Order: sequence, then structure tokens, then C-alpha cells
Amino acid sequence: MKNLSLAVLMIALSGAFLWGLWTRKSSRIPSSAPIKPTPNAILQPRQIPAAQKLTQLATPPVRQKVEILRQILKSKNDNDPRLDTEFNHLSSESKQALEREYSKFPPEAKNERGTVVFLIGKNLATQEDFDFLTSVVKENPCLSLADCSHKDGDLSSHDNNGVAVTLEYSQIVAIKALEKYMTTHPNDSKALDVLHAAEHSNNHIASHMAHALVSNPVL
Amino acid sequence: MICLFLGGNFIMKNGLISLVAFLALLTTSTGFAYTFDSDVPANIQDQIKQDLSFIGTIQSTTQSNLHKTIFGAVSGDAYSKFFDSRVTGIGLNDCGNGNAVACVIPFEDPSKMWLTNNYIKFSHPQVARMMVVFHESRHTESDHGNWPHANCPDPFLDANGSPMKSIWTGAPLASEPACDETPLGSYGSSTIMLKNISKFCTNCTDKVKMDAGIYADDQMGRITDAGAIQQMRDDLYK
Repeated sequence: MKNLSLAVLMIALSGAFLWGLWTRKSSRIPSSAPIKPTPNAILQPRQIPAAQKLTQLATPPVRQKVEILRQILKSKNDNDPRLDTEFNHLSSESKQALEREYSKFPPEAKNERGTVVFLIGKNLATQEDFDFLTSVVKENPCLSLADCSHKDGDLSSHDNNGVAVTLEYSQIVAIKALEKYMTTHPNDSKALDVLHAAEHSNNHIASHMAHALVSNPVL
Repeated sequence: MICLFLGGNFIMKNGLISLVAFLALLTTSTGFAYTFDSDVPANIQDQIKQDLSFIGTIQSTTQSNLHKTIFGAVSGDAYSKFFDSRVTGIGLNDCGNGNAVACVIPFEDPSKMWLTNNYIKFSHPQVARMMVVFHESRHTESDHGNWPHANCPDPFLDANGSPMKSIWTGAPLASEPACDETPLGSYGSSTIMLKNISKFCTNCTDKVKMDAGIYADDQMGRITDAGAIQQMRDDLYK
């Protein structure tokens, strides 16, 4: 009798355990809403819900570009040679896909976002490309690396070496892209429009860079 | 007599070779690699090893004169030797500042580099992380007084005596111990390293070279002595 009771109890416990596993797994079906990381969390590129992964992107070449970008960013290896070989002569569709990637990263993901700006900046051609750069330079200033919406620490001290630059990294990369573009397209109105937008932005470093470029054209 | 002479010459030659070999061994045996404290998280260890490994692969065919003075060639071997001969240990510390990535605390251990959790928490470009690491490694040099920083001037003026309008420096840095008056200190050496990578690295991606230039310009803004500024401009920007 005692053994029977024990056996029943074990079966019941096992069943409860398996039930708990099953329901937990079911609840992991990702939502379609973007996930906003909490401040001070260890930052990873925003997780893309499974349902919205690469299958949503139109063509295999576009999916490949995005996948390569994700691999490089995950590796944190900025010297991956594919940055120089796999993102040249990008189609409009590819650039749109990269811009979607940009928007999915939280604002604190400075290197991730800046890398996308760098890649778009290598392929400036259409008005849409310059519109993207305009949107970048007009972003609200990021106030701290932990949480762009809150200031944290004094940027002037020795230990904040390079932080001010990183906070405006996307914007600075955009200006650098325009600087390079204008060596072969001087006085290009599309580029100048972006520079003027940057001049009037609240991103201090990028604003000054843009002003210097407008005042002293490279050619 | 001839045999003795020849024998003596043989002994002297091999003795000389042995002496040279011994001295070489002595010299190389003083180059040390760093070790991690046990409390440094594995992901931070992995990241800095990866970053230093990247730096260790850099190649070029030339370098500026100031770079030659401080590091030698623009090469992974030179950078690895520079770091490995200065940093014996890597530990975990908050460095007393919420934004700090790394620091050296000379009075505690002049050869130890401290990394913070920000090393992997914050999304810096890889070059920016290495800039901080090599900047801090310069501070390990006790024979140069750890290359202390100079107070930034107040007001912060340019070489012509006009208020600094550079985007990189300005009033916020005035009076802070966050400037250098020599090209050879931590800001100067990291400027020189990054600008040389930007200009001369032959196996770096365009992004790395761009980033090196961006952060070099930032570091250059911390040099406040007119002579040092001119020397570095002549060396790096012409």
C-alpha cells in the first residue's frame, strides 16, 4: 500500500513536471512586437522575432546580405573582410533591408547602427539613401552609452576617453560618408541638404563636422 | 702554436656565440604575457583576447617617425610586444567612473590593467576599445612617471590664442587632468598609433581605418602644447 502510494506520487510529480515543461515551451512563441532592452542590460542586437526573421525579406541575395551583417555584428570583429567585399553596389532592396536592421537596433547599439550607416554610406545613390542619412543626423543626441535617454557621468574626465565620439558615432559616420562622396560629387545638392540638416542638429560633434565640411569643401 | 692559436680562436668564437645566445635568452625571457584575475568574466576575457588578436595581425609597409619612436613599425608584432611588455595582469574593476572601459592604478600595481564590465556592455567600435587599452598601457610605464596627464587649460585656447572651437575639445575639458603636453604620453601615443593605422594599415577594413581616423582626431584634441601639436601635425596630418 505504501509502495503504491509512493508510485502514485512519483507519477503525479513526473506528470506535473512534464506539464510545466510543455507550457513553458509554448509560452516562448515570440511576439511580433519589437523588444526594447532595459537600460544597463548587456546589449545585444535587438532580437528579431522568429516569425519575422529572414523569410520576410524578399530575395535570397537580400537575405544573404542581412545575414552576413548579423554575423559580423555578432562577432564584434570590425576587421571582417566581408565588410569590404560583400556590401558593394547594393541594390535598393538591400539598402532598405539594412535600414530596417538599423531601426531594430536600440539607440545604445552604437557600433551596430554605425556599421549600417557605414554600409549605406558606401552606396549613396538615390534620394532615399540621403533621406536615411538625414534621419540619422537628426536623431536626438544620445546622452549616455547605458541609456540614451539619461545622462550618466561627466564626459570631460579622463576616464570617459572617446565616449563623446561613440555617443555620436552614427552621425559622425554619416558625415564621413558624405565627405567621401563629395570628393567625387562636389556641391551635390542631396549631400549638402544632409550636411545642412546635421549643422542644425543637436549632435554637437557631427554638427561641427558638417559645418566645417560646408565651409571648407574637400575640393 | 698554430693549433693552439686555432684552438684558442675556436674557443673564443664559440664562447662569444654562447654569450650572445645567453644575453638574447635573458632579454627575451623578460618579455611577459598577461594573466587574468579569476574574477574577470569569461566573456570579457574572450573579447579582449579577440581584440588584441586583431591588433596582432595588423600589417603595413611604412610608419611615421613618431610611431617609429614609440612603437616601431605599424605591425601586429610591434603592438603585441608593446602591450605584452607593459601589462602583466588584467583584472576587473569599476575604475571609479560609470563610463570607463579600462584603467591603470599605478600605486596599486603599475603593470596591471583593469577592465570594467563596460568593455563588453557598451557598444564601442573595436578600434575605440583598443584605443583605450593602449592609452592605458602607456600609463604602466613607471620609468616615465606613468605619463601623467596635464591639466587642460582654462580657457581652452588654440595655437593662435583664440578660444578653441574644435569639435573635439572645449570648455568642458578646461582644468581637467585630461590633456597632454607631449606627443609621447598616453593621448599622444594613442593618437599616433591610430592615425598610423588609419593611413598605413594594409589589411584593415575601410571601417577600421575610418574608425582609427575618427578616434585619432579625438585624441589629438587633448594635446595642448603648441610645439607638440605642430610636431604631431607634421608627423601625421601631412
